[in-house]
Order: sequence, then structure tokens, then C-alpha cells
Amino acid sequence: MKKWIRIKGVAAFAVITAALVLFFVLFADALVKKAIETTGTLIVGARVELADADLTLFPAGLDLKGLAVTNPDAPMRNAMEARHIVLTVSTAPLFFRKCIVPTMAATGIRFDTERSYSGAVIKREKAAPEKAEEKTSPLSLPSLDIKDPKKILEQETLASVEEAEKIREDIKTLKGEFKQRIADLPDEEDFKAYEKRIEELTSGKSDWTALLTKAADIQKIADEVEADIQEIKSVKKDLENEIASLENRIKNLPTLARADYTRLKETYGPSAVGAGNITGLLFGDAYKGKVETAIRWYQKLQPMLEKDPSDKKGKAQEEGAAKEEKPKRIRGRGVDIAFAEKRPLPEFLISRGALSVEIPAGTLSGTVENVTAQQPLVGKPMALTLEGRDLKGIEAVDLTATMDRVSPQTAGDRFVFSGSGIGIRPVGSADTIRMEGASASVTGHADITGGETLDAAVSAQMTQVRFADPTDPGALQQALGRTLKGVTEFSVQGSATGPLDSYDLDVTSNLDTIMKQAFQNATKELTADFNKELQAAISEKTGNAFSAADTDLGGITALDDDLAKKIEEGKGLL
Amino acid sequence: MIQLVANLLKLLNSEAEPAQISLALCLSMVLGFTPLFSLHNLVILFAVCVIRVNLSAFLLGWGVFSGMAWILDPLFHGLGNQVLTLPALNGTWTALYNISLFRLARFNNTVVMGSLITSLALFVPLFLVLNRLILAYRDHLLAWVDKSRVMQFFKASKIYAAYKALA
Repeated sequence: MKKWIRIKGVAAFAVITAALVLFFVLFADALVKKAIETTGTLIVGARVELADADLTLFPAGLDLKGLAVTNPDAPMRNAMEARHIVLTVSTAPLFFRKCIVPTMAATGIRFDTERSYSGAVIKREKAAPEKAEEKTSPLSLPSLDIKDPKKILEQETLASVEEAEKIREDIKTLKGEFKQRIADLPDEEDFKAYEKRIEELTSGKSDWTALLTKAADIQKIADEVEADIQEIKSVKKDLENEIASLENRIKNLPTLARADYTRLKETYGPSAVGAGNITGLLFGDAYKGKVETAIRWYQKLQPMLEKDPSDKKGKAQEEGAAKEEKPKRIRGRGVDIAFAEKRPLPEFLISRGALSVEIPAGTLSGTVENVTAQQPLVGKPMALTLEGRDLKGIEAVDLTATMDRVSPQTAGDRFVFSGSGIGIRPVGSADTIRMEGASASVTGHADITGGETLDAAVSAQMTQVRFADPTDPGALQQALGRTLKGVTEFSVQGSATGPLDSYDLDVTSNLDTIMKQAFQNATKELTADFNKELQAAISEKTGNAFSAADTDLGGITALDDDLAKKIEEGKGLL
Repeated sequence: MIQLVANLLKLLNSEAEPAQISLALCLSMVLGFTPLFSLHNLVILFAVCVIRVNLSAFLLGWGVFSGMAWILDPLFHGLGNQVLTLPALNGTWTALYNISLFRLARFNNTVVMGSLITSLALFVPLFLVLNRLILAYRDHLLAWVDKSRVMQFFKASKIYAAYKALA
């Protein structure tokens, strides 16, 4: 037996095992630190760093110091920092490879802090230049640059003047046309010829035979004269019709001139249009920015809230094998096949955590419960509450968030927030409108169903509002300044609804109505002056064209007189 | 490496029990084929320490079988997947899955299961075959190899010098 058994080997085994345990104890902290940094970096897509990790075995727990999570969208800033995190870990589930944290305490949590070096892990592609319409629009008021009406008329084409010129052209054409037609008509010489023929018939023989012949000839001449008169009458009728048409067109010229006036007044006149969205200009960008940031982080957190129970990793490998893709060879890896558990537990769970969040205004305290990617196993949704009282510039603020993934039928997330006595920082521009400060009471909620449809609404009541005096000496700005000085409170309502990637944003306020009225009053006087000058300029320009058309029409009316004279001459022969 | 090959030659030519060499190689196969940080490898380590097997053969075999496992891993994964998803064995696996010791042993991992089954299945046949081969080598080949031209050439090499130094 001794030939086969090596008694000293037991000691050797004990030494080797002890060495392994010692190695684990000595390097466990470093291994845990590395594991957290590597896994966190993979999840976030930017560097996750930890100053120190301390693993305790009895009782099992973890003490983390100086956690810094880089903002992947801004690598020179940390999205989140935590000064100190203390976790207790249940020992028994660890044997089943489950990390159950019954209690956690995180202090010194801060958001959006500066980094001394970049936390980017991969060189990001240079972001595409922003589209012009997506750029933040500066605060602007409706234009009050009133142009000189004479200069406006130099640039603009007046339909009335164009019509007057067309009438003159038409008169000219008709004049030529009718002159030609009149030239072709029987003239004075023709009528004299008729007279001569009649005289010849009235002289000479007067016997019965001759008289009968002459009567027939006279009748023939009378018929010819009558035909000539009819021809002249026909031309006259055509001419009269044309003159009537031209007269109507000339009569219509003042109506066209009025239409020109209205159009130019609306185009160039001072207007209050655009004054109705001052709230959107003052608060729209800030509101949109906050919604965008919230959505971005919500989408990043999504995969951490929901773990596919069918084990996506394993499934992906199976699919890869089915497609005969060459698998990446990593020694010792494989797929963990899951079987039914008697007492199912999630792979990771923080049952309850106490939070202490530091914001510039002070410290918010709160709790977080049921943090896990396998909520169906816990049967409870993740819940977060935060509250702050008597902060710097904020009387009170409360936030509750519920992220429910317990059942696919009821899956949905709800965020409710309220705050009072929130000091609003200055917004706007000194050149136009600038709100120096206000105190706001805000309530709002955001519901996200199916992880993709947003329904958010926020309502803010602004009190102790202070608007700055306008620096622009313009009449409008001064008038607005006087109006805004009287505004001490107003309310703002905002909403964001629709799919997360293309939601509709709407910001309204009763300040819009106040502002619109102020604009209207301020522009009233300016409008009256402008209208008067514009009307005078139009009258001057159209008056010349109209009188020219009238004069030209007189020329063509003379032709009508000539034709009447011809008809009278013809009738005199009969 | 030269040292290790020299050791093997020394072993094969020595009076050491063929079974000690074969068992060492079989144990190294289990250690080499299965992922290193598996619970059952503690049992293998214990066996290597307590049973009087040849350590040089064990270390050499561990290197060789680890290299083979690198290539054979996809096969182990396939086999492990087949075994773990057999409906007939589902009850057994479910029962084991609810025992913490087996969960720590990672028996439900396809590569662990596949490689362990393979190495256990090959353990006894390989032991017997290696025993036979070592005996045959000593009885029939040793004298012939010793006189062969290749061996003469080998005797002039560094490996042989190392072997002689150890002998």
C-alpha cells in the first residue's frame, strides 16, 4: 500500500490549497475592483473607475470607495460619482452564484462632475454637424425694422400699376387696329361721290322713262349709302364695346391698388405675429435638453432592468453554431444551462439601499428598492424615492420613480416629481427679453409604456418674477419693458408625448397672452404711421399710371366721335 | 521543455512502475481537458498529491492535454449541451442544480460537462493502453532504439546531455 500512497502528499495538498486561499485573500480586493471596472466599462461604454474595493468575508460584504462613471457622450465629465458604497451580501446564495444585497448605503452621489482626463474607451466617430433647424435658436422678438415705403415700392411690383400699363398697351393696340378699320370705311370723298351721282340724276331729262330709271338709280345709291352706314355702325359698335371694357378695367384699378396696399402692409408692416411663443423661446430649449438627457439615460438603463430569461448569451452562441459561424475560441467558456430552482432568486439583487445624492443646492436623501434585472423573480418593481428640504435656493423637492418589469402585461415606468420654492436662474437675452429670476413650484410626471412611448407633462407656477429693463432704446422694447415690469407671476405648462425617438414637445404659458397684447399695443402706433406713408406712396405711383391710362382712353374715344360723324354724314344723304 | 522531455525519457527507461506513469498521464488528462478553475480539479490535485504517481509525467501530460483541449473545446461544448439537455436526465440535473456544491462545480456548464465526461470515459482505457505501451517499449523497443542511428544522433544532442545529467 505504501508503494501507492504518499502520506506527505496530504501536507503538500494542504499547502497548495492554503496558498490558493491566501492568494485569493490577498488579491481579492484587486480582483473585485478590476471586475467592477471591466464590467461597468462594458455596460456604460465609457471608463468606469474605482478608487478602492474592500471585500469582507465575515460577514460577507463589499466596501467601495471613489466610484466614477464617465459620461459616454462627454468623456471629460463623469455621469455619476459615488464617494462611498457599502454593501452587505447574503452568503448562502453566493454558493448558487447569486449576489443578493440585503442592504446598501451609498453616500456622496454626484452627477455630471468634471474629470481631469478623458474617460473614453474607444475613439468616437466625429459627430455629424448639427442640422440648421436643430440648432438652438436664440431668443428673438418679432421684427420691428420698418422699411421706407418708397423703397418697398422700388422692390415690389404693384398689380394695379401693372394693370394700368397693360391697359395703356391695349389702348395703343386697339387704336392702331381701329384706325386701320376706320381707314377702310367710306370717307368724306365717298359721300361726296354719292352726292355728285345724286346731283347728276336730279339734273337732265325728266320724262317718265328717264324718271323711272333715275328713281331706280337713286334707290341703288340709297342702298349703297345704307350699307356703308351699317358698316360704319358695326365698327362703331365694336369700338364702343372695347371702350366699355377698357373703362371697366380703369374703374377697377383703385380696387387693385387697395389690394396692393393690404398685401404690402401685411408683409412689411409691424406685426405682433411671433410674439405668442415667448415661453417656448424662453424655456423650450432648456425643457427639451432635460427631456433628451433623461431619455438618453433611460435608454442606457433599459438593458440593466430586463434580463432575458432564456439567456441571450447562450442563445446567441447556439444561433452562431447553427449558422456555422466560426466561434471565438475562449478556453474553458461554454454555456450555463439553467434548470428549475426550488427557490428561484435573481442573479443580482439590491433589496434596499439608502442613497445620499449631492446636488449644487445641497443633499437629497432617499431609498432604492428591488434593483435587479429579473423583477419577475422578485415580484416587485424597482422603486426610487428622493427628497430634499431647505436646500440652497429650493424649499422642497421630491422624486419618485417606479420601473415595473414584473409582468410583460403591466410593464411600464412612472416618474413623479414635485418641487417648491425653486429659484429659477436668469434666462433670455438682455437685448430682447430677460427674466432675471423667479421662484417656481413644479409638478410633473412621465410615463413610459413598453419602454418606448412617452407621456410626460410638467406644470410650473412662477412667482416673484423679475424681468430686466430692456437695454434697447427702441419704442417696442421700451413698451414691452413697461408691460413686463407689471408681470410678477405666470404659469408654464410643458408636455412631451409620442415615441421616445420622435416625441412632440409643447411648451405654453399665460405669459404668451400677456406678451402678445403688449406687442399689439406697442405696434399699433407704428402701424398707423407706416400705413399712412405706404398709402401715399402707392397713390403717387398708381396715380400717374391711372391718369396716363385715362388720357390714352380719351384718344380712342375720339375715334368713336369720328365714326358718329361719318354716320351722320351718311344719314344726311338719305 | 528539453528538461521535461529528458525527464520523460528517463522515466520510460527507468524502473518506475508503468502504472504510476499511466495514472499520472490519465489524471493530467482530466486536469488538462476540463477548465482549470473547476471544483473537481481540487480532487485531481489531491489525488496527484496523495497517490504515488509520477509528477513529471503529470506535468508533461497537463501541458499536452491543455493544448489538445484548446482544439477540442467546441466538441466538449456540443457533447455537454447534448447531455445537459437530454429530457431523460432533466430530473437529475434539476436536483443537482439545487445543491450548492454542484452549482459551485459548474456542472451545468456545457464545456465543463463535456470535457469531464470525455476525460472520465477515456480514463480507464487510456490507463490500460498506456500501461501496455510502456511495457512494450521497455521489452521490445528500448534495445533497438538504443542502437538506432536516430538514437545515436540523439545521444549527441543537448537533450541527451540533459538526460545524462539527470540519470
